[in-house]
Amino acid sequence: MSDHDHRTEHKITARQMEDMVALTLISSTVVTGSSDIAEQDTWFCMLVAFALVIPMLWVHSQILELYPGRDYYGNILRACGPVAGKAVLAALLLYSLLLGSMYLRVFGEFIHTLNMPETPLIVILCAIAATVIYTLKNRLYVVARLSKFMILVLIFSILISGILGIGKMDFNNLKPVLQRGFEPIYRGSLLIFALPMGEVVACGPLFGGLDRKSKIFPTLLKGTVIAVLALLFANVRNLLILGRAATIFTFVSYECVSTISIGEFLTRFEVLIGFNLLLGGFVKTCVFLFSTCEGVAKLFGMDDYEPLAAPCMLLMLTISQIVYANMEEVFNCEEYLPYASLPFQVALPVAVLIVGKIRLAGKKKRRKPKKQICTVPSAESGAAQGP
Amino acid sequence: MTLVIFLTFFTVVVWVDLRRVLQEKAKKKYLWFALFAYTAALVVNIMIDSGMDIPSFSGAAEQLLPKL
Repeated sequence: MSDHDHRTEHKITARQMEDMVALTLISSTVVTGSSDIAEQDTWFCMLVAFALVIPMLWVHSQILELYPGRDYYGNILRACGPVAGKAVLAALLLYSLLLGSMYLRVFGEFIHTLNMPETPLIVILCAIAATVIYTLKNRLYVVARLSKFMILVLIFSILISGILGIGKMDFNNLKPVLQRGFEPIYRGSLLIFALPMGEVVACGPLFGGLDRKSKIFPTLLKGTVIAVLALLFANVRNLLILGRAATIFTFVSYECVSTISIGEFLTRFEVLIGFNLLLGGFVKTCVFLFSTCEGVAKLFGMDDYEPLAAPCMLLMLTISQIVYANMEEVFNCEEYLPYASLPFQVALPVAVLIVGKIRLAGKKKRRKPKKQICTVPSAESGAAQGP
Repeated sequence: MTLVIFLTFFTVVVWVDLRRVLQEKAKKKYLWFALFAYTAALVVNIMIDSGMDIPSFSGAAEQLLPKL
């Protein structure tokens, strides 16, 4: 039975949905760190990117509310028609598939590079893939329930690493503020908007399983706020502890937390960062896989996404091996990613909403009953009839 | 070595998944997509392991798209 079936028992609560959205946005960025284009002003770029993503959250919530059912891809098909709708659907599902492959590769590379350098990368990717397939075959509500637990662990680890690292923080690392002008701020904000804020487009299909009493925009907004606060805290922590040196590391948060220790016996706190990536990355991969499976199901008129989990995950696993040639390309992708992502994150959803609203307005106009013209009998005809 | 590991994983996933799909009559309509996906995954992985130079998505995008 599909999670979009209103008769299903397993509805996802608003809180679980917020946590899923937050984990989708946080996961890899909390480990690799956000763009370092603006260096010590990256925290400012995050706030600007958050302000820019709020209208997009509204756009996604409006698409979900275009027609009853809160079926994101279904509403796109209804709004744009069968041909254009399927083209848009194909673009969005391919985007989800590609993003899922990219992040699967990043997670695998993290574990391979830092923890298991002698283990072949394919083993790590297969282990993650198997777990994701099994989880999604047990339905989306399992991912939602896991998210509620995982977000607590993630936030706790971010907070504890910040508190323990207070002794190593130098608040002068925040200065000078806006030293290099607004051009790095603009570029940094655009990059943070594209990666990871704009990826909230992949969270649209999740809302089909949301409890009907819960509202969409507040849920999306709260999830994004949790993500922004966590990323802001992690970024400022990295900056205060590492300073300008943060820009030279591949996995900034990992290097930052590795400097933290309590005396001589409590060390290696960077394992918390590994937890963060595994937990957040797992949910993120599940969300992208669900978005892909749901898109394929809607595109080909299938009832349910569950039988597509294994085939789509194998495709994602395969693409993850060819999406990047090496780790250098992972970080070079910052240069062109905004231009690659903006059509899928902004242009397509906005176009769908505009077309959907116009068609809806046209339908309402056609359904309006015709005005009846009432003839009022004249005084002469009334007098002629007489008593 | 990589291909052996992938083939082992692939075999387990395909066997478990296809068995379920074929057992339940309602799921047989998913068979064609599943076969397409499995074939594509297998072929591409064989190509990667045979040393074929497959251009990465990232490399191609870096050449085609403007830089920030």
